[in-house]
Amino acid sequence: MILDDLKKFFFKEDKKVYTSNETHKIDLSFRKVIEHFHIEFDYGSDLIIREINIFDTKSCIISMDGMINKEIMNEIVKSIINSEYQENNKHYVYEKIRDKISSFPDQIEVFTYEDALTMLLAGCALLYVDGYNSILVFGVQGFEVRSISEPTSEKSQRGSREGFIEVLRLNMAMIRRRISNPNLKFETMQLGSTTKTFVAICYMNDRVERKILDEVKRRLEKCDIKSVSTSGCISPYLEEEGDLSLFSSVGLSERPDSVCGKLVEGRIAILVDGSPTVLIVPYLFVEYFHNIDDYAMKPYFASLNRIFKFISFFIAILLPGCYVGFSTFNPELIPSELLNKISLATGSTPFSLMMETLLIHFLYEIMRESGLRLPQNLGHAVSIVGGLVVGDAAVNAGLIGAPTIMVVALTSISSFVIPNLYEPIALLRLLFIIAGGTLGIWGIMVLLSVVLVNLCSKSNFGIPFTSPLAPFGLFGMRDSILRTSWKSLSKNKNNIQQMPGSKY
Amino acid sequence: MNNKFISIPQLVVLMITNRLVISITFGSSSVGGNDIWDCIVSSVVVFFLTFILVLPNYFLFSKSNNLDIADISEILFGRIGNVITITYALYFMLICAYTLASFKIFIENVMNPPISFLVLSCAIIIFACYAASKGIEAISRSGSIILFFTVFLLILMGISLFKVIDFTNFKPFFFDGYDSFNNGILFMLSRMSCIPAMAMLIPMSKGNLKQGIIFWNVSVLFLISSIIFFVTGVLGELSQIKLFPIYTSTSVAKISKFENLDALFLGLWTCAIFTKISMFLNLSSECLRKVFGRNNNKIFIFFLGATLLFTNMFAKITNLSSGIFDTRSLFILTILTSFVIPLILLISKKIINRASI
Repeated sequence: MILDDLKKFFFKEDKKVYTSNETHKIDLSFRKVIEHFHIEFDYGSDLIIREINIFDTKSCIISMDGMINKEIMNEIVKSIINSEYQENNKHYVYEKIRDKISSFPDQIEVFTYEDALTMLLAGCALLYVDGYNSILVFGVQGFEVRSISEPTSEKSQRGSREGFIEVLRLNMAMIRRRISNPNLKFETMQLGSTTKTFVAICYMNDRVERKILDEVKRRLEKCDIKSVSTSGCISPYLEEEGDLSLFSSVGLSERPDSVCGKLVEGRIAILVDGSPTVLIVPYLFVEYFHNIDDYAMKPYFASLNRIFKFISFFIAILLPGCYVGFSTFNPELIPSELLNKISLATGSTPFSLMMETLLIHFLYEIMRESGLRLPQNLGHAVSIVGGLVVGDAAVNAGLIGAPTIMVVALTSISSFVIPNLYEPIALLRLLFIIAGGTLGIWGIMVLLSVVLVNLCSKSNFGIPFTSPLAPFGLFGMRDSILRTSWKSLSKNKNNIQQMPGSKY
Repeated sequence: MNNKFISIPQLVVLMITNRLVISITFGSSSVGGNDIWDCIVSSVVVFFLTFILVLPNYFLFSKSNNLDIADISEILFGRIGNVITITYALYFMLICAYTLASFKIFIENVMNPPISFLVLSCAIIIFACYAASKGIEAISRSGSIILFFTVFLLILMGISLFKVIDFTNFKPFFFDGYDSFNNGILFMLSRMSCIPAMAMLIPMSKGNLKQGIIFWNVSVLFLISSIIFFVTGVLGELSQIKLFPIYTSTSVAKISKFENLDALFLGLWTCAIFTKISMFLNLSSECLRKVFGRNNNKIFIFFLGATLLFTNMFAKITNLSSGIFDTRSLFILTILTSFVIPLILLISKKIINRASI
């Protein structure tokens, strides 16, 4: 079944399997066939060609090292060798194996080297019998895969514990298991002129907007990338052309339940082989603040959580800038007791408040980056050195004021509330510190206006990024900053193409 | 995205933001007269006059198949019609310069912060050019978010100021004569730049225009009346000597331990100024684009931005910006662009009766 599937999309639907449309028929000569595969792989060590004799007929099993299930393959080979053959005829031997001996369900026949090669690279085993101009393909893929576990970046309290893994077919199956509806459709293609990575476009046939789907396909087909090592590689190709925004309008998720929820709303998911992160388009700004747990909780608590996330976002980008700007240019905005403490703490430090905050932020980003890539035990050590030794020592030595450390710490914690927005938050935070440190509250406000314009001007696949906030739509607000009850959410269709400001 | 169509609520947002910027500059010294309280009657009169001023624009553009002032004047008068379009482009630029000049006076004379206004105004102009290049829809969308927060803050300040209102400050209307009343009308009408902006914005808008205009005018009346009420109630006689009495009254506001909320209010006012300048830069560049028959208005935005930047620097050196505040000149220009030109075009349209309009 999997093989049929593979064959269908490799040879009928997908035109990008080969760079050249030229096909070469399988040779009749045993040596020529073996030579052909050796030349294709430049005598590479991972190509395994096992020569066997079947009733005095020269044959061979071709496979890639580590990509097949050896036990299953062993069973197939055993049944082929141990069978009884009445005629010592090459054609008879091959046809008997094909029609009678091998009862393996995922078995097909290919007639060109190109088809055989694609199957081989997909993890299938090939059986060639001397003197016959076709090859039998057995779907015995059996490479090692990571077990399905909860994604560390999208933990859930009440949702499923399953997360996507690196194998495309298993990820597709995880979605299919959750949406038992024939309208769920997968379309596959290969991207990357060198890696030829399998990519699956997934959508609900009855809910997706056809124009959006066509545009997604068009953009992916236009994608002229050489290597697709992760889903992030094709993400920029799904953004609007000439979009230089800090925010991405392509959503990411490692959770099948989350992706299924988006698919039901008419969105399109793009799964990339080798990556556990699924891309979702079109994606709205408010969705960065949503979490699968929101839908498992009571609506008022879910709404409260979302409001907190929005507040955290604003704290994460604005707090250090406001701290610097207000303390330097608009101290009247800070309560006098607090201002006294800030001036006492920062008055004796050698740097200006802006420099001090920038310095701490740079230190924090360095420590975060080092802690992120290190083994867990060393990561803890970095945190201790960073938090206690550097932070505490810097304050005690009078190099940095304690309020600055506190502001940076609070900002960092707030930025982790919306992990998918960390990149724009980190950049904006620095920009706001500079704006606040040079132009005070006016600089912060002007920069905030620019960020707003940037966000509001963004639109992907004809859906405004800031919808349903701006343009405002009360219907769309049912599941944006606030979340209404499931009874209300399930009453009407709430497809993405029905968002306010949508072109459709 | 550079969408050229907006909804009527977005049009209303742009026009209210536009008025909000002007409302904060309201004061006895800028209006003229002895008592700002009388201006509350002026605002009611202006409310009705606005409906009359809007009529030519309404009839000219509400059924014009998305044709704006530049298109209609070209259809009616050929290339001579470009004079009208250029007049509008210049008027819109004048409004940008006026807004920036008011901001300058405010920053330098009232706030006097330890920052360079030149740097701040340059930042505003450069970023406004960026916003203008993103299109009118992006400006209106961001404007709606800014307006939401501004209104929220205004309500918050209204609540905090309500307890410090001294009701003895409210004198009978026209107690000191009719000067404030007359000057109030002249001041409000001369700063009614959103009506000429309608000549470009209405053709871009989709929805119930009539309702939009009524809502906008009622909101503006409510906004100005509330501002006058609070300023008079909180400051009393003091409002007559203050250059920006609204700022002075917001400085009295306090919420819990947080005092002097004026800076916060001014921050939001900065956002509104940014939105207004972006909008008028965009409209002005649209006029020039139509005159020169180009597909893209970005080059004009950056040309206009550079002009504004240069004027801004030049005005700082020679102190020329004071001329921009002459209410009578502004009144003539506003009436010309908001009423006279649309009326001439409307009459010409009826006489010539071109099928394409």
